[in-house]
Amino acid sequence: MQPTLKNEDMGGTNGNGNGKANAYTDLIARSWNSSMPMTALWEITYACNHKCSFCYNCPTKGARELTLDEMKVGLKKIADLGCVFLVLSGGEPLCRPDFFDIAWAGKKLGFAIRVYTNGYLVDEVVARKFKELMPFEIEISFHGSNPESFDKLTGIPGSFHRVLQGIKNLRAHDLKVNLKTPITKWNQEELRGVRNIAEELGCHVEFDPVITPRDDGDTSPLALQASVEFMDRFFSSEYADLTHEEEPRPRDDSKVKAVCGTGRSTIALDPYGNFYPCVQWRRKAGNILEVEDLRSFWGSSPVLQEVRKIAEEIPQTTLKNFEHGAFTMFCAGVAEVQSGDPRNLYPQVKTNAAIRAARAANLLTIRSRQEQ
Amino acid sequence: MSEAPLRRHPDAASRTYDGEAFIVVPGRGEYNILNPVGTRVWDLIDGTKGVTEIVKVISDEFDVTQEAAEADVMSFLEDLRKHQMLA
Repeated sequence: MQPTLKNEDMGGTNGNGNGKANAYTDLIARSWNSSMPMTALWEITYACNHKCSFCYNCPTKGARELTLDEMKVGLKKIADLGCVFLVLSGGEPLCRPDFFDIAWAGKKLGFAIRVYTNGYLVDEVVARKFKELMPFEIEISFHGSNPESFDKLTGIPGSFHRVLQGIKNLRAHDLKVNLKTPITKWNQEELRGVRNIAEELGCHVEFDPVITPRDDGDTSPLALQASVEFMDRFFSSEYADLTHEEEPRPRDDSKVKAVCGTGRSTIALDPYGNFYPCVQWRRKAGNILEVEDLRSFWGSSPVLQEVRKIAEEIPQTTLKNFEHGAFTMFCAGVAEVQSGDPRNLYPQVKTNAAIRAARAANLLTIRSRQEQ
Repeated sequence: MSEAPLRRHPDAASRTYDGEAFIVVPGRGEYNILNPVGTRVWDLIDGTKGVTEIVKVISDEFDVTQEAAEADVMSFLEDLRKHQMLA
């Protein structure tokens, strides 16, 4: 056998067949099926310099965030678990004065670093530090193309211009920057404006149609959701250029057993070292400082085993019994926090699935007419 | 063949899953997956071994002639260089 290398663009990161099929999606599917974690997402602080009213974070009163030395201990355990991607998130991760010490500790352990930041603190000095660190990518929350709505969403006057400058500072060093825009009723008409800004800056942009409840179940962030009328348009062909979805494709559950990678492909941690099956599903599995052998714990944890079992049941029960189940982008974590049961359909998912299913049927009809 | 020790690119992040190395190089927006022989070569690129030593290990472990191993390893190293996976 000759040594070979398969090289492909990072396409879909989705194991259920919605992404472009290639060696990478095959690997993700294997990661899901064999509970082989590839990503650790660590919210290293809940401190933040923005005041987004739709933020899902819920700091625990009186709890102490881990020190740098404690985080280094945790990072070593996560590396031994086999994760290759380390996502440093928050809160706002750059609010930690030791952010770059943490990031370098991860880099030295062989992680590909991703950073989720609001970009507000990225001046030229910070941008140069990022250039030295050379993260795999930096994802910046970008809330609109209009400074007024942007600042209204962050609660910080002047944040639009400062974040924009932060992105420019990073791009001046040719760093890979992705923009992420949660769609709300305040910015729903600005998505193409955001896309244009992203193109000018040389950034990829993703639009997130899902506003979630807070981690403690508080549903007040849902008041900011985009209107149903807009979501109808967003999932229609009108916005196909932004959703990167020329044609909605049904789930392919033949490749993977579970509805998603929760408790399988990702481990999520909070600033106190507690870890969870994923960032959305906040069932505490353990604390990184208290678990000696994380690899063994990962396989035997009753919490993780139950989460995996439920994630396997959902495609066979909840989605099978729902007429648009094949077009559902389901999150068990949101289902649990919003309805009390991770198996329950929740309003947003019903709407999105129905629109995507209708669009797929419409495209099928058009194609059929063309073939006649 | 150069006897200089081969080094991985300092920004390359890698882990091995099911016997296949998964390698990400920041700045390129792409990933690389190596087959088991490629993974063995990648493991041997540890900053201490030169090409000759790596070829000998591959020849011994995979029961191929020195000439065949050398041709395969040299071609593979060229691929790694092309994708900026070597220092």
